[in-house]
Amino acid sequence: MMDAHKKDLLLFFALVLLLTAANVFLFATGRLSADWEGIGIMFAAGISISLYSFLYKDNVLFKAVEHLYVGVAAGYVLSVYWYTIFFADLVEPLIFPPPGESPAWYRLAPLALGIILLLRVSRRIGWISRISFAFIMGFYSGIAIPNYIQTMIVQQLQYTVTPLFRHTDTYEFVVQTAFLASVVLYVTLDWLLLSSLKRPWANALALLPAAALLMLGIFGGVSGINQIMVLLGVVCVLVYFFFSVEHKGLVGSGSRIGIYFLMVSFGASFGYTIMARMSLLIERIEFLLHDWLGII
Amino acid sequence: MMRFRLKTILSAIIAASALLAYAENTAFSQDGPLPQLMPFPVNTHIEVETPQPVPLPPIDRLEAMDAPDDAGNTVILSWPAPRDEKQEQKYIIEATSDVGGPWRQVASFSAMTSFKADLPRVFGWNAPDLKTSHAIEINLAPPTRAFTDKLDESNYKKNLKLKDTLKQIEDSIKDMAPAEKDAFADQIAELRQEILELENKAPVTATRLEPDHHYYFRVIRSEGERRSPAIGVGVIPRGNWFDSGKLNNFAIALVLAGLIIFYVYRTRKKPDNIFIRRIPGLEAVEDAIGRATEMGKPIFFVHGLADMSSISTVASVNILGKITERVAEYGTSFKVTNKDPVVLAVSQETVKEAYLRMGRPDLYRDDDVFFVSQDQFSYATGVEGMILREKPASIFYFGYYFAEALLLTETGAHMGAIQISGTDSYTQLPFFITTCDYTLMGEELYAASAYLSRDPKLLASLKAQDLMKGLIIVFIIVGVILSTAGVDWMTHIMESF
Repeated sequence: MMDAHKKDLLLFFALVLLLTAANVFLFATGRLSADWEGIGIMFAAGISISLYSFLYKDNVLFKAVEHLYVGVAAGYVLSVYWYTIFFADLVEPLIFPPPGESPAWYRLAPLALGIILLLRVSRRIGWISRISFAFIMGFYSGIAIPNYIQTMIVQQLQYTVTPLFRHTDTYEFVVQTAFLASVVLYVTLDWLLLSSLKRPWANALALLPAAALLMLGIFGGVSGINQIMVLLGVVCVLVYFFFSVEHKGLVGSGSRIGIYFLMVSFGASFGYTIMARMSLLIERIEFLLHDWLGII
Repeated sequence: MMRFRLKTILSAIIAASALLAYAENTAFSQDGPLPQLMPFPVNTHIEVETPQPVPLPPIDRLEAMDAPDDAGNTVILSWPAPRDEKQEQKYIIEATSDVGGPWRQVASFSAMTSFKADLPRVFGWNAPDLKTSHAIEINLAPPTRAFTDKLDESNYKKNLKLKDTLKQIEDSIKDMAPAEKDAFADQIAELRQEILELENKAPVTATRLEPDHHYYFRVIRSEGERRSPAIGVGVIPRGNWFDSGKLNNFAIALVLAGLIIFYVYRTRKKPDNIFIRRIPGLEAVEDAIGRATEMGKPIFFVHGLADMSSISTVASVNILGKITERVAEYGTSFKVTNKDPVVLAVSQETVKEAYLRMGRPDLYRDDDVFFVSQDQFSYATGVEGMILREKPASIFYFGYYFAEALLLTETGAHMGAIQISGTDSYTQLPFFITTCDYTLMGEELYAASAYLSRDPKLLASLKAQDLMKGLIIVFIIVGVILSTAGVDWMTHIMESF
């Protein structure tokens, strides 16, 4: 019986031979043009297949491409940083200022902070780099905290604090009110009975009227039901994130509903992202079959 | 009597009909094509003058104002919507820094859109003409990087300087005798010529607004080829130090800071008075470290992709310090992967200090806290490779993640590592929940450092945040009730600008 190492080696050579033969055939028959574009497609296809070889197991082809990827990215990022930050923000304003303008001397301050940051390689004077770190932490906190308040609190409140009943239609009003009442009923039941019983079927039964009315609202075109859902979702998820209160009683019921909301949103997000990943896979397979092999 | 009335009415109808017919005929002769009474003979060449389109009536009462709470690059134009406005019409806004031009189009919008109601910060929520007056914000900030548009920018600034000089000379010679004024004539002509040349070379006049400079705007109505005469107005944009639209943000920050200070003060007096609910993911940290120690395998701490400006990165660096303290107790191999150089440096410092605090500085090696790559998928590929080869027993993922989250955690799960993650990236949370053993969701990540350290200051901050959440819930419920009852002031004070 062939040992695993030999089998892997054989598979590796078979794959390399197959790729070489396929490329020779494609160039010989003119399906790949003998220019830089053709060579680029050949390399891209080889790299894609090498990365997919990881699906079998970690192997030398995958390792080679992994290192190539990391190395190319490092080189690329360095050039991007040079042109967009170091040259554009430091060298140019200091050494090549626009005609008629004096050099932007104030840019020496960030340069000094950058140099101080590099002092950390020294064991003796490495402590000086903390000045730069203090600046970076303070500066970033100053930027992050107001932005956080703006996006997570102010905007959330703005879109949540809106009228619950938008329509004067009696049917819509009745459905919305009944839905709200069924949620209140569930919380009350959960608070008083279910949390002590801890029976999943009892929980589901208590949720049934709310779920039925929600479906009625969604499929019956009651748009105002969304506003109630948003209100419930925001309040209950906030309750879930209470840390200094034990999740029992009313807080426990609220946080349980909050978890339901979180899980539903995660499920939707999961499905959405998986679809996006599938489209990436389809694009890669299309590249291999169309651009490289020319089969489709 | 009756006959007289009837006669009067009939006469009035006849007279009105005659007048209407005349008016219609006049209008027809102005706007429509001439009726073809008889066919033109074949092969007859007739020169027909193309009729000029009738201009639209101009807008009325155009007003320009400096936009409040800005850096001085924005102005607001407003005017009442004309009664004959139609959907197919549009408004063209042109600007210049010189009253004589050249005028350049800086904005345009379709009729029946862009009203004062769209700018509640400027015009409020209750003005009577919110839906009947147009308003548009013209924001023409200069480019932030001279690098992208160097020559243009340089000419533009030079042009502004020349204009200022010209204005100063003109102001200074205003009260002089004509003979004295003549002495400056050549200089003024030279300056004007130079300004003109610059404007021709870099046609940027009034395509940017600089604070404290005079600009002129004009509005033209248009419908197909028909245009109205332009109506103009002048304005000087001014920069402001404070942005009053962010006052609600400031008030929230003050309340939160006040609550934190209050609870820190209180916790100092009674340190054991703060309860923190159980967070299973954090209780598992100890088990994860113990497992790695027993198995003699390393522990990985994988940072997210965000830099130090992200709160999740700040929180994960705090957690890193606490985890390192536990790791130092057991003397287990510990590796920290980084995507950002600044996060790398901060992490090195944090790990070093944690080892030092636990009295084990000998365990710290610079190479254990390392940089992988700054590119998202290169980082993911690099870390995946390391997980495959070094087979860590436990992996911690803390920070802000993007599409690489599933790639990393799937590999970790494949290698049988116990995985604990924490992120506030809600798009990636589903992947962490499905592939990791424990996941800290959103704010649990921020609470983690307080939970792990039991530091009274951090616990006090957590308590203050809970109280803030309680206040927010009360605000939302009261706000929704008032808003449903038609009272909107609570909605407006939380308006985000």
